[in-house]
Amino acid sequence: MNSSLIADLVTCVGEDWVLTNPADLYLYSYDSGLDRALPSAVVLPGNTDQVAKVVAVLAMYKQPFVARGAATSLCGGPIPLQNAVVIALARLTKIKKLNKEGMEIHVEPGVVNLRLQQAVEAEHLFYPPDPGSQKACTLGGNVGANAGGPHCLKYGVTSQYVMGLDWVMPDGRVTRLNVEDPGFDIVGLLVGSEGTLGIATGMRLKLLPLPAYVRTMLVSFSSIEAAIQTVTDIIAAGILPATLEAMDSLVVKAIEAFVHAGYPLDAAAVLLIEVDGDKPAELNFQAVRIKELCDKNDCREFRFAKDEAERAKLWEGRRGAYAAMARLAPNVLVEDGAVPRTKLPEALKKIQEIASAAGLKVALLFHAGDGNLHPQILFDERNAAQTKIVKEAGHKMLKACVDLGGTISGEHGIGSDKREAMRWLFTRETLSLFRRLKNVFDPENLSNPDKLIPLVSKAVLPPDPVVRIGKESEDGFGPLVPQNEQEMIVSVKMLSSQTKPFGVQGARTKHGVHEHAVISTAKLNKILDFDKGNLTLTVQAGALVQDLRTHVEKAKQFLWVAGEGTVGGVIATKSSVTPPLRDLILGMRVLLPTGEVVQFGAKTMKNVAGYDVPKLFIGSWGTLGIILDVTFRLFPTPPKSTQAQTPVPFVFKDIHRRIKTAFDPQGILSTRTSALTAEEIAAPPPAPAGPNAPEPSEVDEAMRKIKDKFWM
Amino acid sequence: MTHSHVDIKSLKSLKKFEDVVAACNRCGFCTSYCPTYNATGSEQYSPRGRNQAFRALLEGKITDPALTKDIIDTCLLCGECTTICFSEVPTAQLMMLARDLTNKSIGLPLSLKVIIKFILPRPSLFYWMLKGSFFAKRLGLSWLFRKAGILGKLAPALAAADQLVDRVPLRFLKDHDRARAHQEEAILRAEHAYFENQQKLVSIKAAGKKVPESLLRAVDAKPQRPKIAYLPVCGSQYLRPSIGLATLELLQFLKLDFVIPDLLCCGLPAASYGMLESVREMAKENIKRLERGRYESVLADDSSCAAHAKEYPKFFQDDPDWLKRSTAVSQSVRELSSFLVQWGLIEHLKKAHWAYGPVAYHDPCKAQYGQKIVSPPRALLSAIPGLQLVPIAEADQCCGGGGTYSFVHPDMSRDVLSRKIKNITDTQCRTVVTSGSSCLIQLASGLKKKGSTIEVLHLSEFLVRVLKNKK
Repeated sequence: MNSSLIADLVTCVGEDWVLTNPADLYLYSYDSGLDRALPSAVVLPGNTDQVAKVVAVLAMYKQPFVARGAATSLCGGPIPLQNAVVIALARLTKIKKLNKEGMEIHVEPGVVNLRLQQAVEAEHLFYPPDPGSQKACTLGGNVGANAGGPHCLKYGVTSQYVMGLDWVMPDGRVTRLNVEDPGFDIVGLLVGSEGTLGIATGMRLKLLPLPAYVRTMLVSFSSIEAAIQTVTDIIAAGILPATLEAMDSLVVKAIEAFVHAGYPLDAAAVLLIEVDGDKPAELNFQAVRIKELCDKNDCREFRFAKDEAERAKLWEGRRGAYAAMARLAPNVLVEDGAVPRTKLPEALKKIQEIASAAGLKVALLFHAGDGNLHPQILFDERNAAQTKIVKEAGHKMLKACVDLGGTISGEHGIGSDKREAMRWLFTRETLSLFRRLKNVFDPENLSNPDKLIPLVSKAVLPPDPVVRIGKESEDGFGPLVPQNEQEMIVSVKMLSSQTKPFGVQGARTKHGVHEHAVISTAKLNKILDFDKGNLTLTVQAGALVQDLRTHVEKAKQFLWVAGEGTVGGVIATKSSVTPPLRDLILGMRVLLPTGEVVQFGAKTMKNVAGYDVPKLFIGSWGTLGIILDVTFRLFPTPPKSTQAQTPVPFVFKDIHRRIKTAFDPQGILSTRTSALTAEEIAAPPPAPAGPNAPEPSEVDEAMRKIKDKFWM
Repeated sequence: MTHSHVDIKSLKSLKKFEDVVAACNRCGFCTSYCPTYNATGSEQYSPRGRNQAFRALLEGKITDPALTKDIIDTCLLCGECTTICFSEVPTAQLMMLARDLTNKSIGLPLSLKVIIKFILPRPSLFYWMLKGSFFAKRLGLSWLFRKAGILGKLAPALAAADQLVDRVPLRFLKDHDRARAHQEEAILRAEHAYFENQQKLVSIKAAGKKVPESLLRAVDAKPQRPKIAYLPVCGSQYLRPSIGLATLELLQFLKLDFVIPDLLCCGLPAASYGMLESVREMAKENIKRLERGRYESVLADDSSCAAHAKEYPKFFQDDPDWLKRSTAVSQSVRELSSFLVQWGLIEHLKKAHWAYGPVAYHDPCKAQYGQKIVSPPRALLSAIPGLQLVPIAEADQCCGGGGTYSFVHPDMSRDVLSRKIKNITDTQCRTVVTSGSSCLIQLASGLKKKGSTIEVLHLSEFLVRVLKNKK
């Protein structure tokens, strides 16, 4: 280790807070999962300024580093690969400001999740994300991993609650970002970025009023299948409980041995269901419906927690499930796949098959309401052969989830453990985009290196080369209206090949491009998938939100998007404000200006695999790419309130420009970020001067055919 | 740092604990409940980190015990982590074993060995040594001692203790009349006299002489050995005899007959230093002396010593004979607050009164974790009319006293303490009550440094004060 680097770190934080003793370093080599790597030093900054100073010093030395909270990650998130220096943030435990009226709290990253919960509960407020490790895990870690938890079924994951971040960029510069800032939702991108894009030193979190009434139900079943079928039935019946947790008998026995909460030890499976709200009558109604569905699936015992103490005990047990596995075996591999909720029974069957084929003991624990599965494979890492089998089985389980249209991580993250599994989920193009995004924030690959994205021979790939066909042209296009996705792709490839600037528009009610060629999404307006059992809707970007709302309401489901216009337009101009669009989008496919199609998310309620790129498209004004289709989360009830707004223009700043280079390396997509004027809307864009006569070639011929077909 | 190696023999004997250590799957739940982790945010000062360090030593992944010494030594042994842990990894106990391993591998300071192996097992030597140094301190000679390094050489702990305890007593518990009458010696003397008188009676009768009236009376009153023993813990004997006196007063108030057996230190300091052979030696001697009295209850008014005496069997797991004997004795040990509840002090407290401001109760770790005693002290205090019992935030956390910990790791102890002091002053209480002398000294020194006027009292001292306040 470079001694002058150590000396400089000591200058930043003081001698006591730089660790180099090999035994101390050994204790920073692990998290709660299986992967290990030794850091070259550990630094424990005492305030947020010191974090920035430390990062600046490390950047100067081009020394990789990784931020660490309580290291309760299960996927190797805080493991210091490349002998990174660990920046431990556990000393930053201040709750800086609680704004009771505005229901927000500003905290440092080292605050433990449960401490925050306790602090706000005293004010009758509520911070919903409640990961199982909440007794220990820090909010910094929660933000890094976009943590979930049982209550996320009703209330959503961490990213819904992070309203602002004090962010230390990997070069040591500090910036404050807010969800309310005009332009891309950069905060949304950073949440869940697993420390690869920089370090949060402060966060502004949204709080909710504490629900006035809670009813907690404990239901036991003679088989895990019956329990899971009940979950599927409850969701399909349009009931959205606060939690819907499933555990098998192995889990129940392990936790009951410690907490003595009264879990039934003779049942094959148990559901822990909670409904909450402000109207007791409504809760009772839901509870009655839930009981009917439980009875329908032959439940054994159905009981309510009699008081707050019993409820707390039951939850202490449920949250301790991972910890309790230590009673059964020295190691547990917890997988974290998620599937569309209707696929839960199938996923369960696959997991059981994989486990029995490998001869492994698996304890089952599901955030069943979310379709998020945590099979826990018991083993002892001191047995190397067994460990290998366990890891393979774990990977097979994830693959099964992907095959069912799910994802490899619902809430734990990718880290080092699931890095390679990213290939199953994402196309090469999408992974390249991730690498380019990483490169925008961290060109030296210093911040938590080698995580989240599968490794390639070089740490960061250059943008995929674009084969140029035809000649550059100065003339503009009229609105190009591809009739289907394939035509859209080919035409963008063509524009890219000619480095021809262009823009995108939807219904041309808010945004359009007047200066360049324009591609319209108007004809991409189909409903691709309406999964009533899963409460999801996948639609093309040109579909009109007003039509979609009407459509799903026929099935007594609700799309919580306000306003009018195309899906793409509403997202790009962030014109639907309440409920926040950022909480409703589960997946997205995007056509980049390079002609590459990239895809994010799935039909699962929770998904933390890869960067949360769809967030960037909210308020992007069509500057990053063309949204092809979007998967929305639907609800069984209408939203409490809705609000649409006139799009607010924004001015590109350096950070926007840099992010744009990841999406649009050629810089051909319009950077216009303001609404069309009345005159512009009235006047059609300039008529196309006609395509240039290109050099005759096969490709060009193909292009010409397409163009002829849909030039307007 | 010179490189050292693990003591192989000791390592082998610890192999059987490998699975106990491996029961930690690094979930990390314990971290935010560990006072030293909360004070530093550092993994090496967390239960998980300490267990992993010990595991690395056992598995040979770390071969130099000097590297892990600080990690292992800084555990307060409060035991809170085990109550959080779903697989109940006994970190505090494992750290005692780890310290034993470190001691055997790299040795202990001579002064410490002298104190624990030579002085602690010899009560009279201990008595005079303390008396001498306390006297010197009163005379103002302690600066000279410090300068000359005499105290320092004797034990770094005493030197630090000297700074922490600012007014040391010159009369120990034994020197007070209230205690003298109940000393085991006195009972033994009475028993001996009775026996002699009987013999005398026999011989007088045999000689056919007239038996004097006084002798008849003496023989008539057979001395009964009381069923209750008061375990004379070091804190209540030497550091703050007023605690011991108060406890005796409470016993007398309850009209209980008791004896103060002549015992050694319970051995807790030796256990803290991982000197397990010394622990066993002292425990055996105390067990023998307690067996002699066949007591039904052995009352300890220091939660730490009570907990340690209750844990004697844990040190004899491989010795069936002593396991049996230690179990029998440890089952007779009673902690003060539950003892007082059992003997009905609450009824008397209900007739008393307290009008001197809010009172807070500080739980010694060895009470709340070592013995799961939380409600009895509160039952006693809240029975007192007029007394407002205010809760201390983060009452689960150790104060950082930890016996000699505060002397040996002053920086860490201070950091842990400052959080506790803030939580105490936040309660706006006028008095803090506790039942461990280590906590008492620690809290008093912390409050004094802060310029607070909050008074710290031992439960016995406080209850005696209350009972004098009858309506």
